[in-house]
Amino acid sequence: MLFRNKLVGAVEIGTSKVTVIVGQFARGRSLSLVGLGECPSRGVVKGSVTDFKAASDCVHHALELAEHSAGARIDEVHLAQSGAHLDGFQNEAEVRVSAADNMVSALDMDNVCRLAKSKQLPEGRTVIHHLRRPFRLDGRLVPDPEHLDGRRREVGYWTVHGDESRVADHIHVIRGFNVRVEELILSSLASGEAMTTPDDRQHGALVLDIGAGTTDFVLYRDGCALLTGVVPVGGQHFTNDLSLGLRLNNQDQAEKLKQHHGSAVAVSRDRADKVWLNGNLALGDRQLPRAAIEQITAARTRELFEVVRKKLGANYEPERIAAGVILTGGASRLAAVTDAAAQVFDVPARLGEPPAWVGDHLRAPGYSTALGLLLHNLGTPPEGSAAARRPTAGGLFRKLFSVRS
Amino acid sequence: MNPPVLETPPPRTWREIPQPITPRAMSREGRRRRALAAARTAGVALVALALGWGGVEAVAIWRKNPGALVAPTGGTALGLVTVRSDGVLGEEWTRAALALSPQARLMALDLAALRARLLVGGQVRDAELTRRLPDKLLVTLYERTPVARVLARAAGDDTPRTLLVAGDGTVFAGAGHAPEAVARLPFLGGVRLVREGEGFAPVAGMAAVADLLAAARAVAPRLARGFQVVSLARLAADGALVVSSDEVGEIVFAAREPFARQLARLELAFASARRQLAAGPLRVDLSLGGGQVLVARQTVAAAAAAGDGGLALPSLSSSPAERPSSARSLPPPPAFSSSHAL
Repeated sequence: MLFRNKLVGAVEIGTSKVTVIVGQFARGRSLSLVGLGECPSRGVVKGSVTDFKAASDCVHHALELAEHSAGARIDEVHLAQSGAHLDGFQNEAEVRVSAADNMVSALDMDNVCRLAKSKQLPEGRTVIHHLRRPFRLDGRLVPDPEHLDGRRREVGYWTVHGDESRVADHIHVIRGFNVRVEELILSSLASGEAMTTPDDRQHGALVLDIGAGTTDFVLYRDGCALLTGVVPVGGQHFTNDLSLGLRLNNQDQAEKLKQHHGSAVAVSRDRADKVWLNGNLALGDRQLPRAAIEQITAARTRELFEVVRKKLGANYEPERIAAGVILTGGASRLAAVTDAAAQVFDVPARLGEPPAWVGDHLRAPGYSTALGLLLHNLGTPPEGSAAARRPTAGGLFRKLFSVRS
Repeated sequence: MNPPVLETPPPRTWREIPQPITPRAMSREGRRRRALAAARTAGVALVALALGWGGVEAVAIWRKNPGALVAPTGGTALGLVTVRSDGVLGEEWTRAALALSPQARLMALDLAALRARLLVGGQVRDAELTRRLPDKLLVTLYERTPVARVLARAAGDDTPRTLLVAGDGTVFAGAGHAPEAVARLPFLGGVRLVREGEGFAPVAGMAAVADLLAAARAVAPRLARGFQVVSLARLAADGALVVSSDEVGEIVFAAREPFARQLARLELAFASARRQLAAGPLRVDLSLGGGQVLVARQTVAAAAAAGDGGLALPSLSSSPAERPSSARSLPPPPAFSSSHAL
């Protein structure tokens, strides 16, 4: 039991659904996807838990389905974190190389990293990630300055933090299933991990995960995550806009219209081109102008992208985004969404593709975050790698005697 | 020189958020998993505790009485002794031979020593002793089959007693054999019994005797029933077995030829001689070879010398010089009366 493969449940508690993918890690080097469980989400709004009982019920149900699908018990959970409460800031530190021969030592690196991460947060905020940017040694980018010759060493961190109580809510929902949360990973980072290649990240890429309640984004440059963010707008807002704009009482009807006739770019100009609301000619069925549907969805999409670009600010330089914009998430299935992204961001855009080895049933954009949760730590320790390199004490003892699954 | 690094405490991270387990906030599946985890932890703790306690006890016993570790169930008293045998020996004889004390413990028994006790008399060729937990001892005996008998005196005892001789020459007392079965066995003559330990050394040449008697019982059972003495006196020198029979008189067999063929010639010669010669003891020599059978009528003197079978008891003196060389003296050469070529 102590030496068997580890089963990790990747859990994304989204606004529209809860997804759990079970991955089997063999010695931390290989990953097999062995189970899937999902169910409609309840008690979650824009990535935050608003009804603990309802959220727990659906998350636990999804976990049970995933365990049943995998045929084994989940050992630990990697949880995706999203929500409008998340924020980030950039913090940089610079130290002079201490050695007389100007050779950078491990101590220098630890010092500069600790300094860059030591910025205090307001009360009630907690750090989710410290995303390290490339080191600079005398102004030049170096992936690992240790043993190199230089005088001034700089490093920058993008620190992602969130509201502690909301993060704790997510964790407590999982703990109600008596399984421990071992990793908490930003949804945008997870999606980015699944949808981009190391080359994409090196050349520069912007990944947008358009979910039902939020849109998570991450900007990659020089192989590192430069900036992340969350916009509390998602596909559900498109549906709401359609419902309001077309005076529909039923959200399901608006959702169907969005999926079948919505477009991120308004193409239809013919006001006589109409589509049936239900298509069954039953009482209440009526015709709606296609152009109106497209205009609503296109306007909302463009607005969303513009908000993202505005949040990226000066960090977004189209000429340094060679891999373009990569779209994923359930709402990225909207027609012509890549065209709209290309127009707003001034770079080519495409729909994200998971790695080739992922099975067909998990290739839908809605699974990108859960997949990325499993891929995120595969073979590479998380940030704070200096600490991650150190062996943890008492692992065996904890496995034997801790009261957990 | 670097400016002094300001050691500000690192900001609080999500890993510092406690992950308590409050049963009220848990789902039914969560509570079930918690119970299973607690049971597993308790099981692991119990196993660890048991192993630790066992180790402490083992060390204590090892220091105090290492023998107790060698026979961990030595406290179990021996109950039933089950005996299986391919001969005549039974449980009573076996118990007596084993001489087990009433307080004997099954795991404390020295099976090798007990087996040696069973083999002492010579009647048991092989023995297997098996412990059957919790308290049984299974004894399987493989016995020697007697083919002849011999009268012998024990040292310091003038009363001769009958001993049995097996096909491999082993001499044994023959416990458990029925007297009428023993009475049917021929006596052995012309042998020297040499004491060896508590018993006697194996008799050489008994394989030929066993073959002869087995062939006789199979080919000529009527004649075989009349065999009184089988003498080994000429076996070493002439390769001949001399049989005294109450019906024929004296028969000389060649040990190197198949006995079945010799017995067939004997029957034919005996029948022919009976027709041609007057009744009386004969001497038939089948050891001439070439199918020759010498049939001679014994003289009265030779017959008288033979007496009641011509049996003489072998001495049990340990000095070969004091032992008689043969159980009986050979009769004088008979007068030739007829010869048959078969």
